[in-house]
Amino acid sequence: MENDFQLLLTKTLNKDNDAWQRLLFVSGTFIKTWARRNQIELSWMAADNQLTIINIELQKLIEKYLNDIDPGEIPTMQFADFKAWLVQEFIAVNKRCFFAFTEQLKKNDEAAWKQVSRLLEIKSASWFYKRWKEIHEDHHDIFCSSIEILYTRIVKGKMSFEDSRSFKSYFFKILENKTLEELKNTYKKRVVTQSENQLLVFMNEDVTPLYEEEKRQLVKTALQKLNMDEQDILTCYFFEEKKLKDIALEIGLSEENVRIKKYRALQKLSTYFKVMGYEP
Amino acid sequence: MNHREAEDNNIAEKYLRLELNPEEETAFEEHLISCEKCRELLKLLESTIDGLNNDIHEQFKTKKGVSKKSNWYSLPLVRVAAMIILLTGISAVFLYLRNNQAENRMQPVISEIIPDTATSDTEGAEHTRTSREDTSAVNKKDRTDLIAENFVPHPFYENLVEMNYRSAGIRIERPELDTLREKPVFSWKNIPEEKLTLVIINNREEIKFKEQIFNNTRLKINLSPGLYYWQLQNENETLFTGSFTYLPVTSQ
Repeated sequence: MENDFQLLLTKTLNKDNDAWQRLLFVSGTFIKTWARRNQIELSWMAADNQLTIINIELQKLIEKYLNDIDPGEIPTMQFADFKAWLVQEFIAVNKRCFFAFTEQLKKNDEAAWKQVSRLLEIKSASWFYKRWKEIHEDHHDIFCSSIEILYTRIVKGKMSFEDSRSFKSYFFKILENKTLEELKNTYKKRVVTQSENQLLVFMNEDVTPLYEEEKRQLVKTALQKLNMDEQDILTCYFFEEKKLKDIALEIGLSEENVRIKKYRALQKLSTYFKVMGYEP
Repeated sequence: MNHREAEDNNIAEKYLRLELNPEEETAFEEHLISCEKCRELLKLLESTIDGLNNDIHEQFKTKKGVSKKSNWYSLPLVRVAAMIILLTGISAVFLYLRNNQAENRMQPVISEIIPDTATSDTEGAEHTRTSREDTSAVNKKDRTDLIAENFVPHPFYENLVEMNYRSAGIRIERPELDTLREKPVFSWKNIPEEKLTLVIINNREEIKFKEQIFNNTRLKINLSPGLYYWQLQNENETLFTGSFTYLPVTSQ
């Protein structure tokens, strides 16, 4: 008797679009989990001299898998085996696409650099916040100086990276050194050079597609509808990845109370999204 | 896995926080094939996390372009004031000890370090210091002054400890305490590397130790009692900065 996964494959082979979407969703989910665990950036991929995205590459792989099944054959592969196969295949694709992406960076490709600077800006914000518990005025300056150094070393130098994890690691080493430099240097005056200014202008251009911006605004508004406790709990739990008992100690509530507030906060968000007709 | 089980155990949240083992992960992913509610919940949680990240990102972006202030901008005013008071207090102890080295009128923390046999002799003769493990750096004439100096916090490294590194998700298991009576064991989890470089620095920025160590290693070198800062580094970055005060148990 077929299990859920085999039924899904059968329906997909029969051109059931809903089944296809579910297969893509589940595949994307475990690939993203693999990437998070290994600190790989899925948005840093290129193919055929342009940026590519994970869904396109996944689609190609899954289609290849489905095409290998003989017509009329009932799929017998188990989900765990499919997952293992897909992850292995994707690792090879990701490696190839990341290499192509770094080649784009070396050629000073604007789109690739915007992708890098945007993501590193988000991660740097998180990096500074987790260390200082707030964002200070000079943090963004430190970030800009670090990006400039990275840019110079890649475009003018001969750097190569095994994967996006080592690339990020390299950048955060630069950021860390820059931060330590600022901490030690009491009287340093910062002069913005012409090339630095151009880089800053370049980074200021927001490349977020309009629908992404609308989604961002909606989620931001939804979060603002939560009370302070609920916002704090969600931030501590999902952003700072603290345990519930530690959050409870910090904010002076029982662990059970924190659990309930977290649940209610998520329910509120869910209700708000439904009312606004937004599907996350 | 059924939906009730997934819901009751907050599996979706644990999945996103990477708290499930590989079998549980696969079981949840397979469950997603047929459970729309869990798929919706997962998307909701992912949106929430994105929203929180974007919130911080916006704060970060809106701070750009503001003029630079002095180096101590990064500490809230109250912490700067506290640091000044602490340093003034320690300086006062330092001066007091310098002026009263003949008598056993030391601050409690100092008396734990110097054995009783050392206090009566004021002529600079040999002291029995069975509890002190690193005597080579000690100038006998200024011994009490040096001890106080060994505990003065270094502002730069105090700042690093405040930074509370969580790069690469490393979680430090040991040392657990801030004050250690015996040589520390260093252990950590949640990162793939088996060996990391351990750096130990005293409060005068002197590197006392810098070598690769395996997880769960006890430090073997001799340390003088004092305040130390320690870091764990891989080949690309510093993963953690901590501090400990080393106060070995004195043997009489």
